[in-house]
Amino acid sequence: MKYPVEILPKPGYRIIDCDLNEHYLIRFTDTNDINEIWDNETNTVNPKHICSPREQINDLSTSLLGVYKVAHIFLQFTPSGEEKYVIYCAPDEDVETPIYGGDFVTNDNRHYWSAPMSKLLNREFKYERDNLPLTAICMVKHTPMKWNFWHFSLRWKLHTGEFLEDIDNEKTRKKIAKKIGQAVRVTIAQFAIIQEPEHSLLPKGCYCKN
Amino acid sequence: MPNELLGNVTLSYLSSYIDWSQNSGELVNRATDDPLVSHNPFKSNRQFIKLEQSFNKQLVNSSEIFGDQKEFSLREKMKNSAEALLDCLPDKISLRLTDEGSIFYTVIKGDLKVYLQHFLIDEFDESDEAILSIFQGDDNLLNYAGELSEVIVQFSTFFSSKNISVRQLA
Repeated sequence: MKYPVEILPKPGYRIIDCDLNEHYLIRFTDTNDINEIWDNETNTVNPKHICSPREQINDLSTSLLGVYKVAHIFLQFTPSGEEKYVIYCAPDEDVETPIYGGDFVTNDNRHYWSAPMSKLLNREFKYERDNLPLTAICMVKHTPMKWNFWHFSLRWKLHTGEFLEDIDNEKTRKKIAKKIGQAVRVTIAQFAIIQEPEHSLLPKGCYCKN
Repeated sequence: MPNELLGNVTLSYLSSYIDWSQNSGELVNRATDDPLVSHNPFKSNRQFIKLEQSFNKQLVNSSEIFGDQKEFSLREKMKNSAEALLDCLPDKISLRLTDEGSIFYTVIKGDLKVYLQHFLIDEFDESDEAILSIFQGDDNLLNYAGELSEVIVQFSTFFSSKNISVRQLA
């Protein structure tokens, strides 16, 4: 199987800076069992499948749906492939094409959820409590990786301007992490779907230098 | 129910706690004069049984998350939050265990969607923590984080303000 080179970073690309409100993010799930991913009782994504246990829910990896298609969620990197490709990089990096078997395989036991940017960008969660008021604001940041130019990170900024990792006090950090984890779960449960949404391609002017 | 299992749940909440081990199977509805509530004790009981079954099933597959915490104690904690949520007589309710050792409830009541995360593990050895979020359509009406007992009061107050009776604290 050939790697979809259209999702790789390449010379001439730049960080995406357009309005993305009409676009969607997509993320794979660790199973293709729809009954496990989707809660038929409440018509929401099962919060267990919002991210995998080994990842930080506070910094959630997603991709921008468009050039990156549903078919690409099945790409799974081998341990050696992860070392080479699952790394942040410059948007215009000239990356060697991953090789099937050595760097990546396909994993059919996956599905996905997709969420509209318009429901995520700058969404605020104000946690009321007299002694500990806190506002977490959803940020969607273009963070190209060697395997995928269309990689985006869902992160949460606090009303103080800090991100979670900026907080020194361990107890405070862990308490805030719980709130952010809940904000992520609630946002995805509220707005994500598990069907491919109608979507458009991003204009080239948004990510090409010229 | 032994007091040591109840943690730091408030007295107002304790006073209305239903001892499930002695429950005859019927929930008593204390707000029968409220026309906004569709009373159906059988439905509430069915919902609780379904939640408990779902919790027990997921607990079997999540033993590594909870370490040496006793299953009985975890079940009692789940009953505290589940019972409080069932007091709004939800149209639909489900729960999922998370990898952080919490129960994530999703509740639908009319056009309201309630999400409550109840943390069963606290590494700082404090009272059970919970986080509540309430949506109406796309609008986020309330988020509150605190001790479970405080969150339950917020939940109850919210529904009371919407003229939707909550059995225990109404």
